[in-house]
Amino acid sequence: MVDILPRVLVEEIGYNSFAIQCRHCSDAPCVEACISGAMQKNKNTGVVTCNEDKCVGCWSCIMVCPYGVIKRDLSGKKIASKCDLCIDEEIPVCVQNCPNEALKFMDKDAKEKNLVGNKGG
Amino acid sequence: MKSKNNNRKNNKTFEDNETIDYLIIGNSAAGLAAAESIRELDRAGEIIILTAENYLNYSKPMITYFLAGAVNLDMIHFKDEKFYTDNRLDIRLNTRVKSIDTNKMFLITDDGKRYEFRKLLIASGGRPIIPKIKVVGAGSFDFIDGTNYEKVGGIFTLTNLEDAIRVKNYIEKNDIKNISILGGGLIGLKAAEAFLEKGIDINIIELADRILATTFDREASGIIERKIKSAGSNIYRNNTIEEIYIESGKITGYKLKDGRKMECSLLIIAVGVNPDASFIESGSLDMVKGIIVDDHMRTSVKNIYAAGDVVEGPDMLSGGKRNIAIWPLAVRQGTAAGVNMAGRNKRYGGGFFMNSVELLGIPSISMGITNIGEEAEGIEVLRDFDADRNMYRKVIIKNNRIIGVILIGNIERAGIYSGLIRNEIDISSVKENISREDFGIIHLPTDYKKHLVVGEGIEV
Repeated sequence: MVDILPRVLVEEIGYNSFAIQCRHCSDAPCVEACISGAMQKNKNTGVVTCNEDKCVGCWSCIMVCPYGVIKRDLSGKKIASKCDLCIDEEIPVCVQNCPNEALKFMDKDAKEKNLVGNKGG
Repeated sequence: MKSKNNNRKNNKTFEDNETIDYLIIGNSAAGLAAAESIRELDRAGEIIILTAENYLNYSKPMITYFLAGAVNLDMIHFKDEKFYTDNRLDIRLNTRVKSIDTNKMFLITDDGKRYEFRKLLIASGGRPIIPKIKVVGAGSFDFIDGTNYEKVGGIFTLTNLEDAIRVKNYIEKNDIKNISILGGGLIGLKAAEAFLEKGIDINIIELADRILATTFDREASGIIERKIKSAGSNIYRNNTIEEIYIESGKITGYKLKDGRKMECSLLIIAVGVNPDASFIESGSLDMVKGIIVDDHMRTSVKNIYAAGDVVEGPDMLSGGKRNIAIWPLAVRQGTAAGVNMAGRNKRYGGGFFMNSVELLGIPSISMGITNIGEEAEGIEVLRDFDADRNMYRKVIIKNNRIIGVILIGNIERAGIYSGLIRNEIDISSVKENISREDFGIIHLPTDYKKHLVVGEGIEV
């Protein structure tokens, strides 16, 4: 059996629950702090991804992410794990599998359609 | 990554006697962040980068990963060759700056060449501190210091890739089974970890009463210390090396302050790093140990900027200027410097110390002020210490704002704390949650939570 490390975090207090994942910040602190060059923000799409081959598991990204949405993936070589917006999927996995359909996948207005991460961290 | 492309070195000569638009000293975190942000704003200006080293670039914090064999020379760079071509950066390797004329705006390199510039960034990083230590048996000298330690076989520092390669080769060539490390700080301990994994015995000599004394408190140091000892390393605290013994040009042993004599065939000096500003003539720029910069990374001389480990910049927590030699701040400072050099306006915004290090499988993160006396006025400390599980969480609060955090074992979501420090958030309403093991966004003060996550279609 393979352990799957969720890339969306669900926080709970009693019946209150709250899902949070990578915000793909414009001035992404994780990219700034990355010592290996693994964490990069794509200049065209704005998506922040971690190149698993380059990541050395120093956890500098965890140290600086104000949302606390980067996790340690210890299943193989130690690497940082975070939401990559399922960039190769038609619909993000979290949306496809949310049992309560609480997560939705929507286009922003046409102007901003192809750019994420205008909200800074 | 050694440059395969040395012809790029001389595609322009200075005999042209032209003035360079942007000249950058330093090819690491701060220098390259600056170069990248200059190029984003100025597509045409000429950017020349000078580096004393012979590598296209590499990540300094990763040299101990290289020693451990976790990364090889092909993976140790943090920017690839394409970065230089895409941004049209003219990189000059093996080019050490000798002096700068801050009035006439030119500099001279070791090879006698002259570079005139319109804007200069000094991002020359740091260099290791070598304490003066008495030596016996060297013949021509009675002390080692920064000028001659390299003449003794088996004595090394560990701040750049060349050092790491030399140490690695020396271990292999001389079949070293025992290494001594002077200094129980981050570099010393990361090196110790690398050697322990290779089955080499380690002696760590630390002047303070505990290792990692500047970033950790007693409990945190204790956890790491026990782990390192159980892995087979000796730690000599409250101690230092008084005398080094040399035979046939190589170190054979040393005497500790407590009188004990130790055998030694490889000594690493890792007591600390100072800003590398040796080429700056005294009085030409405002300096203490490092170059003083303002919130726009400007030095005291117009059109000369500085960033990274060489500066003393705005410290958010003290309100003064401080040298905080860490990667994330070097990048942030470099970025701000670059934008300002290109004629726009960007504040750096200040920083505070933080560090993440995993030693022998125990992850740890420390940030801010971690060693303040609990009796001090307005200081409150929340603590959760579980020595058996190697777990520790300490949050230091001053006037209802977090000013320091130590996390050992469980480092998940550490960045939420750095956000609270950076944004100076009043946490009095959520204090009981702050040191919970499952601490998260949901526990934050409502206004800050909104500031973080509110957006189109999102309500909190």
